[in-house]
Amino acid sequence: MPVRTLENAQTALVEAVRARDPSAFSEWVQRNSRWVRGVVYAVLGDKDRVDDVVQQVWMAVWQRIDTLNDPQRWKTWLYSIARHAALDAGRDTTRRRRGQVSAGVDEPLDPREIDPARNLERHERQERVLQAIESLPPLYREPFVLRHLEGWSYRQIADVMDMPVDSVETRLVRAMRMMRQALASQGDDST
Amino acid sequence: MRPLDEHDELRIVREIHGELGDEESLLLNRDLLKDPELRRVHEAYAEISRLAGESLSELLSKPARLTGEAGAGGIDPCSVAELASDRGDVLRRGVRVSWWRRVEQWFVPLSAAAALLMAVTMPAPPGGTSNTVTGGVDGRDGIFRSPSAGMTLNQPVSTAPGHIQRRDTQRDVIGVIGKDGRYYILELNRTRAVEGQGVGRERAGRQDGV
Repeated sequence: MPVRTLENAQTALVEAVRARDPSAFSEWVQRNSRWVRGVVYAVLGDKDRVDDVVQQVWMAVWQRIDTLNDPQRWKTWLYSIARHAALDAGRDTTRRRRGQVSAGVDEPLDPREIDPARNLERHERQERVLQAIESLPPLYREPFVLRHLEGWSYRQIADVMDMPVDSVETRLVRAMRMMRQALASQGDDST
Repeated sequence: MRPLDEHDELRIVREIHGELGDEESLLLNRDLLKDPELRRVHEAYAEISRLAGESLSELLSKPARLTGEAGAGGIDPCSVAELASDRGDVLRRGVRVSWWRRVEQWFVPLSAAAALLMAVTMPAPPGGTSNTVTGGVDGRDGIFRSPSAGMTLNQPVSTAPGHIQRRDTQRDVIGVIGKDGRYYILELNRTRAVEGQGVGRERAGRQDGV
């Protein structure tokens, strides 16, 4: 489906949400859940608290939907709510993380995986990559996550973050450089 | 081989992200063939980009461990909407979900105790001889609900002559957590059918079921 049609469908959904339609809200949440989680994760840099903050985001969205004056700009508005909720939540998270050593409690591997050794290796690599992402300054982490989670174009990222495309490019290049250094310091020889 | 500068990195990153025009892509590919250092950086960044996409996707697509049935984003949007619309200031409430849950933990037993007290102190309704589910307390919002109020359950179909009396013998109040997570108070009146003026033998009219 063309991007423009998808955008129009989302705008129609937003209108229905503004009219307090719970089923429209449900659909809207499901369509945008992933990238909102990405924004929260990018700002927080703490995967363990993402779920709690995301729930707060959607509650705030439902409450504040009347303040969305221009439904065409719903994405920027939603991004702003997600970002601020994550910033609020992050203030104490950052303090806690500094004095905390990772408990090393990994989630169990998927039992359907046939090759446990290979699965473990993949899991460890993903953990290293996530650690490197979390080590990025939020300034660079946000566009990096939006780009790699949802594949947003530089223009889309610039629009929601309300900044020039050039700044997005610069931040992504620096984020990439920092990621390479972080992974190299972890001993990841693939990068 | 020339030193790598930020402009080269920018070209590489834009190419990996599909943001480079056709002409620029051709130029970059030509430079990649000539410059091993540029090629090495390109490979490293492409790998980082791939791994980041894979890791983020796996992490953030997981269903969340939240209340309600998880939707695609790990929360139940309808329950969020219900929660948000039922109570006053959502923003404050949204931040205070855990606080509300703590209150709720106290609210449910207190509601149960109040209902029990009411059941004990209220006079029995005239002719109240049947087993009735008389009400329920919604543990979430405190509204007194009556999901099947007044419905007579297990009412005996009597073929006894008119002089059989029914006597209230006991009243029980039972708290039940429903499938919907709400806390229901069931009031159960037990009756006993007695022949004659209260001195005859008892008939098997005792009803306990709900």
